[in-house]
Amino acid sequence: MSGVYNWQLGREMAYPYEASYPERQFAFVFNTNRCIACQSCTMACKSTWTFSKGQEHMWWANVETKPYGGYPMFWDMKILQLLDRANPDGVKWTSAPSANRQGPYGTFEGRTIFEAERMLTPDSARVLGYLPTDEEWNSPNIYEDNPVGTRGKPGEYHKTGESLPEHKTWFFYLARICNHCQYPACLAACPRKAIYKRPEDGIVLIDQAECRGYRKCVEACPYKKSMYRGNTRVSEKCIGCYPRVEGKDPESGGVPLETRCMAACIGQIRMQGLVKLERDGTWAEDRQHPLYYLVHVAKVALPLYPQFGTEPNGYYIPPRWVPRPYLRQMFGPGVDAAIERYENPDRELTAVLQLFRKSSKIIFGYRIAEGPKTYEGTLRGRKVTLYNDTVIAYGRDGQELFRTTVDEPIHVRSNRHANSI
Amino acid sequence: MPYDDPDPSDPTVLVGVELPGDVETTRDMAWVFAEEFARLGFDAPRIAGLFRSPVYAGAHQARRVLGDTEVSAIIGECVRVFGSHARGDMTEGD
Repeated sequence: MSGVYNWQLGREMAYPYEASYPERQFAFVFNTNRCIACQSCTMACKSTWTFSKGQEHMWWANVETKPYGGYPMFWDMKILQLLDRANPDGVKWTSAPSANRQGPYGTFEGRTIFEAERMLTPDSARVLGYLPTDEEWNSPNIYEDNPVGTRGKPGEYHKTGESLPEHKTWFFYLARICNHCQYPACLAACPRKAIYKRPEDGIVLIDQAECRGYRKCVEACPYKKSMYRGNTRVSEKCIGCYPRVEGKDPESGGVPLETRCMAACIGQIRMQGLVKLERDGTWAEDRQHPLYYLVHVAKVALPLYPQFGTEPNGYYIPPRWVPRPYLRQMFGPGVDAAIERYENPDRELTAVLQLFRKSSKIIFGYRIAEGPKTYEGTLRGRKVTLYNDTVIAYGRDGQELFRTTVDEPIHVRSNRHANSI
Repeated sequence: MPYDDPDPSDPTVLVGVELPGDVETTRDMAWVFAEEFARLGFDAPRIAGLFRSPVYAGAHQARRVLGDTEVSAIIGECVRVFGSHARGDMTEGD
């Protein structure tokens, strides 16, 4: 085991390989407050990459209803349960979240999936994990919003519910793809070294020629985003739509494009980009990069289950209405401050949130041109002041991609079009 | 589809289990959905349609728990603050 620095945990951590970082890192921010589980992302991915025989159960992009749902079923509960057993004395985050980019969420005191040696079986195993059953893979979204139906009567649901007609509780929708982690568990576990992280953008890929389908990656990935394909007998995973990210998609005109799942998002919850890294793997200061701003300046976007230790590159703006203990478990100790800031956005955050989904081109920088005050009043007792600022997005070579305003004009297509909404 | 009925003694089977959450949580959720979609430019009838649709289970449940009057008031306040269309910027065309 080597010692690598995990900035999300604020400490050095054990990992099977020496640290090595890409020049830029594929990363994304999802705003869970906006997600309505329309599954457009899911279907965009499915129709692009996993429509073939043998991939029927494979959903590289999925949206699950929390707290009940999961694809595969119970994935996070099962890995959290294993981590609980690996940390019999409990885990905690010490020191308060701070402005320090080396440890913005404090320091995690507990074993990660790479540090749970005593739990590993057999002795040759490198990562704490489990292999989901076929049954857990094959029914995404079933019974997530509604309780179970009658056994043996497919498609028929209880009129009043077995015990509840529906889940009478809070829920929210968690959109997920591969996190293209800085310390991928799939890569760490592969006995054939068939998994690699690209030096140019940090996208994690499985070399299909090298893979022999041992499924160690499926077992190790705590997010369960590496999947086995029975008819080819090798594993597959999200490829970060790398031809688009490289700017080689025929429709890109040579400009880096966001992935298919991002581009298809009608709720405008998604933004994907490539962030600059320091030599030590932390994010290089890039003040006018929208992802850097959301993660390191505004701190409204947080990693998914940072305690796993893989340093995931998917960041989430947490849902505002969900009980805080659940959110702290899912997104770490930065939750309270993130929600506070998101609920009361300053002028810059309000403008940056307008960048989501105005273009499919990857944004490398932004600038805000101040506009007039358009509203001053209250919302639910909170003071609200709005300015109609203009936010301008720039691409890889500094060219302007688009500009939009906080008070965005709405255009409605006339009813004579068949596809009018 | 799961082949067996959920085993109530299995702690990972949460289906049908009530988790902590009260009407205040539902109210918060309704406010967030209304605010987010008002920010996106939806007008009041379109946001109300989202709450009416059983397809959007979260918003739909909030409407049934809180009632039409309260949800309409929530939508109204959000649109008043964030709805640029309410200030006359909406255009219709081809």
